[in-house]
Amino acid sequence: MKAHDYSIATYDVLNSGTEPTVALTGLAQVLEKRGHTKLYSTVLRGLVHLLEQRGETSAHVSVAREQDIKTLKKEITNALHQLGAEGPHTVHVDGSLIGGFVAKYQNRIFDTSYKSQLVSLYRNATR
Amino acid sequence: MSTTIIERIKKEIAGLDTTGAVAESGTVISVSDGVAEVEGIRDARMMEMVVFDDATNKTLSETLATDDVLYGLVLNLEEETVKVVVLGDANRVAEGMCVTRSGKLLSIPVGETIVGRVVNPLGEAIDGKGPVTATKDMPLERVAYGVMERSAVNEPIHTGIKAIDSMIPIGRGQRELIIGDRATGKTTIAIDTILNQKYEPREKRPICIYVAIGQKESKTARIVAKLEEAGAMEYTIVVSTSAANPSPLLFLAPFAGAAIGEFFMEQGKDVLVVYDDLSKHAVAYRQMSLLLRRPPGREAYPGDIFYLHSRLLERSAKLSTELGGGSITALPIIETQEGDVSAYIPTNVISITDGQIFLETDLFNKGIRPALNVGISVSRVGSSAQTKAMKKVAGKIRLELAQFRELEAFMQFAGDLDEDTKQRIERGQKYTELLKQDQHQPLPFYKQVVSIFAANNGLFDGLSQQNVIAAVEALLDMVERDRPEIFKTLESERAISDTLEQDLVKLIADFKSTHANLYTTA
Repeated sequence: MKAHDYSIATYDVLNSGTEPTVALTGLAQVLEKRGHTKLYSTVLRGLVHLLEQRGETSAHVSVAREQDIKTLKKEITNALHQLGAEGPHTVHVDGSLIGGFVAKYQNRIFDTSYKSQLVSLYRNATR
Repeated sequence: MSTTIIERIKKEIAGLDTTGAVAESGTVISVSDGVAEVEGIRDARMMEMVVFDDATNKTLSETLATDDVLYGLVLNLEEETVKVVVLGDANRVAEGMCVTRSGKLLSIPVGETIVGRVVNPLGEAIDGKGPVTATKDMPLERVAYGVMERSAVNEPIHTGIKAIDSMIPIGRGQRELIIGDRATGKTTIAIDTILNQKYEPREKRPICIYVAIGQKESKTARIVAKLEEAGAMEYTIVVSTSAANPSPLLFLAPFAGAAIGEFFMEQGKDVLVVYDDLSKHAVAYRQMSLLLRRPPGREAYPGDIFYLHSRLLERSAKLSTELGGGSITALPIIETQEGDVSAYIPTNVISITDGQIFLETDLFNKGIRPALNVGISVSRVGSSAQTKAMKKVAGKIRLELAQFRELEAFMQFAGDLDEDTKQRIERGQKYTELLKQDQHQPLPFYKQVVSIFAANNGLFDGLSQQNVIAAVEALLDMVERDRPEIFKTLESERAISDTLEQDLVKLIADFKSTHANLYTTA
């Protein structure tokens, strides 16, 4: 598949040590030259997929408040372990969660936010 | 706040799982025409339900202000992505939205309390009478029972329509197709069959399920009102999808009806399911398949359009005694265009079902209603699904009408025909008149037996065609008033004994003498 071939080639270029901006600019130029610009988004998705497969993306954790990073440290570590994310992770504060946290890694999610539980409670009670 | 709601909330809070678990989630990369392309849920299974998380980047109050949870159904498993049909308002789905696997194949929550309710294919009540209390989740897609798990179809299901119960009898567990052009009375036959079940004893009365597929909401509302007025909603469930619903819901509607039917069948009960109509179902499936980029075949239908209907209708069965002896009888409806029964979808469904009832516009316009063409209508189960009483009287009417059809062409030469031919034509015309019936006036089988018996044994002698209906009604009134034990005997024994036969013959003679005014020659 053409898009997949581009994704593999771009991944190999990145692996060889080329700067990401340089690699992606080069990719865009090659696609334009060959008249394959429409494949750009598909190629990028494939590239992200390859990076995920080979464990090179980090987990992402959202908490409701700044202090929850410390108070929920044990639960967050446990969740990341269940998700298979062993490396470093990024943290983001999202007040709309109300409480708890949401951890995402590759295509898996661990959600203990108060928001999702309250939404579920409301929908089940009012069905 | 009512106690019920407080108790429900308490129950939900007690059952809340705060520990959390890992779920597989993906992201919507594109959405159009009700189909979302999702990447990331690589382990998703075919026909698995997924949940669109439209709460991302919204506060709690904003999320609660929107409609109920939005489900999707995985229908295409592709190399990098899966295609999900949105079971609801596709406008709520946006690119980048998180989609979580539910881990469950599509199922409908069913319980005893679903009887009398109007629901959508997801089991949600749409009649404004509160939620349905479910005790079990029934899968919408399921393999039909095998040969060894079934038993022979030998118990009748009475439609209340004389022409059908006498000449095209339907058994419990059979699939009988109702086919005809628009406005020929297809839905009326199905509704009359449902209404007629009120004459069955409660323990033998089938649960009726009317599946409205892409019908006008006004039509469905009229049908529900009619069923409520007649007291039939006590034993009927309506699964409704209107023309305004997206095609995935129309696709799921008959499967939801079958799943609800299986819930009751497995309890040993009899079920009657009406699919109104499978032509619209095929069109909805075609629309969905084209949007999923499945290759189109003949008339742009997907290649598995036959399998769509065959796997649905195969779920109708009469189970063996070991499995409870329950049954699902199916009355699928197909709408033809200009009487063309050789079109693609009609021929498919004709080859699947155990018989068909043809309704013709010509007959309808001539005033023959129900507009059945008894010549080409057939029930492959036949007299195995008739009571002994009906079997005894139906043979002659079938023969008379067959002879009448052959001679009909000669009617224009009325002056040149011999006496015997003229009499056969007259008798055929009277039998045709006998079989006419008003809409929503089903007749219990014992009354049908008495009226056909009377026709076979001299009731028509000296009677003009115009007076046939009046004479039959007067006869039935007389029996109801003076000899109600005749109806009771027929209802309980379901056979005509020699004694009863003599009684009936004497009754006819009495009737003719007391109603001489109906027999004045023209």
